Amino acid sequence: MKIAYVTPLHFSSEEDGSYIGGGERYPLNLARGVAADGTCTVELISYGAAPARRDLAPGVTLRVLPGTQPSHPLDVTSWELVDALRDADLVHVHQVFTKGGEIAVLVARQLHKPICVTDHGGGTTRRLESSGALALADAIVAYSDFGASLVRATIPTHVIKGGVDAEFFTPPDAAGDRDRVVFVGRWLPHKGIEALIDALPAGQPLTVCGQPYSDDYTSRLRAQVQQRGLEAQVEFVSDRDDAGLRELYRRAFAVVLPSVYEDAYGNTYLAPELMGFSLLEGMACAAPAVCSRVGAMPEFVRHGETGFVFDSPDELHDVLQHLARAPDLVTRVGNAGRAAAAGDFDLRIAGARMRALYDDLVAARRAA
Amino acid sequence: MRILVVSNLYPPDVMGGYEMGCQQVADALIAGGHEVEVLTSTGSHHVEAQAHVHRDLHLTEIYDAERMAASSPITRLLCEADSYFVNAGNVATLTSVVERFDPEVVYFWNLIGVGGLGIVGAVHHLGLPWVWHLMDAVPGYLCSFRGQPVGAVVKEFERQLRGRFLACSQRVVDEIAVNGVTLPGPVELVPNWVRGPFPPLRTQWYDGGHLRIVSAGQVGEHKGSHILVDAAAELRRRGHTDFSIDLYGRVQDAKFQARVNRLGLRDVVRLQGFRPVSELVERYADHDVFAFPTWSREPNAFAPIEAGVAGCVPLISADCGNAEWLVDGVHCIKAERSASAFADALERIIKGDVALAPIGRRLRVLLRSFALEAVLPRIEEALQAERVRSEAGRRGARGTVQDVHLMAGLAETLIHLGIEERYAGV
Repeated sequence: MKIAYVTPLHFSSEEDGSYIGGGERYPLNLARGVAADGTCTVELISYGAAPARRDLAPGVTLRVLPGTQPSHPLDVTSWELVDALRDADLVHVHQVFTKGGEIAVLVARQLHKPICVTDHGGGTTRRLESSGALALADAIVAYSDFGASLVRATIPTHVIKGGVDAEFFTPPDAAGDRDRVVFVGRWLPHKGIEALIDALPAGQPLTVCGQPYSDDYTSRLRAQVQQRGLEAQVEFVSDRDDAGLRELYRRAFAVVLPSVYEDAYGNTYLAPELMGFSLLEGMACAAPAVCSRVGAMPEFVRHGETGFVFDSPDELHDVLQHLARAPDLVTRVGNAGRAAAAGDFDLRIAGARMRALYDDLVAARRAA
Repeated sequence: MRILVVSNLYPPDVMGGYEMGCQQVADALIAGGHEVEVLTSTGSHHVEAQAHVHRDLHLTEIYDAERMAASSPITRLLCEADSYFVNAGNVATLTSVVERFDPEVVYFWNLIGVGGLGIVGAVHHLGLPWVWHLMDAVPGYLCSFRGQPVGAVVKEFERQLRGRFLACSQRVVDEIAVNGVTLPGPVELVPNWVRGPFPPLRTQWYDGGHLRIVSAGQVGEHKGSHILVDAAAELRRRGHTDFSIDLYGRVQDAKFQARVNRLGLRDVVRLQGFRPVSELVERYADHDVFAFPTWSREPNAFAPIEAGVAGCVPLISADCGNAEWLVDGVHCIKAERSASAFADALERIIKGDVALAPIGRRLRVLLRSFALEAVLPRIEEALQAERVRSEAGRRGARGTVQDVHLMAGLAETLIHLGIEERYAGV
């Protein structure tokens, strides 16, 4: 079976200029999980300046189509999409609430393909939903109950949680020093990083790892650190590859995702986090996950067991203070998190569930 | 067979022979015992309700030159897209007719102005067999935008669609190919036809004296009206004065009458205005030659063969669609599309070098095979063959009416948004 994943941006090396965040990491990881048993292949179809094709993982290839140049990068598509989807047995459209997603759904239905769609948040249009055209798809796949609750549709919705690579993101061989708080994610206002800086216990280091996507917000964070005299405590890093990330998680006594519904500028977000990928990666490395009670994150963090869910900056401060002083707690919660990540949220587990859904949809289409 | 005919216009709303031909065939199919329904546009005339004709499609204003000229560029582009690509409302109308009528085959005619590509795509998606009667390069237009073929659209038109085509000439097929479109399915050439009982063969043929020339159709450059006027002037220069030219049809070119006056031909070239076909057919009997210096893109006009039935010998451009069906010197006279060549041909007739009587008689015999009752069985065979072929091959997935409805709406919106974004500053 050949599965086509259509995604406007692909998670790749920075040289490609297409690495973004969890919304892009997720299709790749899911593809790896789906193809893991060797009985099907997944082609990740995305867009770029020039056509390209290369292997990403066993059974997973990336096909870059020459893209259009829309005013919003998520609205990219390609005249060659029909060709690219023609041989697929099933099409999974990621980031479906974009113009490119709409076109992919249209093309796939025109070709009589079974269609799955997934919203990764941050889309550019909900027209598919408002027009009822989402019914052109056969199934919605959400990776959290929260995500599923946001989509209004008449077609079945399946929640398949997880997609972290728990074979790559693993705890350190020996219990090492977990000496810092870690944030991993895009430096954007809805991530609430400033609240984390404010809540940081005295003397505890914080590593803020990711890419700056807003110059103003990045400057604001740096100024905040400077004003509070935390230059020695807080470091901003943007150059970590996956191995570097893993090392960071392995040194964390808390991996924090303090996302907000209303950011420091007064902007509001309906779905700031549909999963919280870095929490799962941290958990896989046996780092306690700490998250705000926002979006889907509480679905993945069992409070007091695999991590902590906070409702206020004071609570965040208290949790971090507690963890900094209780290495046994860090070990216990971290191990429970690791078990959850490997047992429930690993990409192979999510991939197998996804594959079962694909099989059903393909069989139903053939029967029709 | 249950046959759904789809045409942008339908009498009394007509642009030319294409729509009239559609009605003639539809009526003949009904008379032949088929169950026929026609889906066409609302048109501009009030028409008494006909049970089998559904005037529910929306026709864009693309044929209204004045309206288009007065529109903003972006409006023109959106109108063009609605006209050629997809009109979601029309697709919805089509699907409701399909649901109710359940046709065994869909018979397309001119689909410009109603979102023709969407109509064909919808029928294809529903897995219905279809036959497309071409009297113009319609598929080529439908795959184009701003006068240029859209490569990706052409490619998918060729690859995804599968039907059967009846073309009135190879010229039409070639012109579609010039637009880069290869028709996706068997193509059969079926001539345009003549209807009704043939009048008695004329007994008086031109034998010197006053040569009565007639032409009919739109009076404009593409039909070669200016060539005919210049040919008349050339004949006069050569000393021939005993001839007249009656031109029937709407004048499309404002400079035309001025040209006639400037050349001093007011008494020779007579603009007779628009006349219904039934009247024209009678008037042809009063003329010797039907002069038709039309452009090479002429698919296969009805007028020359209707004139031929009346014994009026066609003098036609050698490379137009009509020329494919007639042999020079046997059924017609052919000339290069130039004033001098047409003047030469007319001069040969005036001098008696070419006798019209044998040509006219042979043409009458040939036209028996162009009678609608002779052509109709070929059309029926094509419809039946496509129905059977499609039935036999119907193993692939068939889309639902609901899907088609949603897809058309989404496609129309995406096309509009794309045009608005791409041409915002135009």
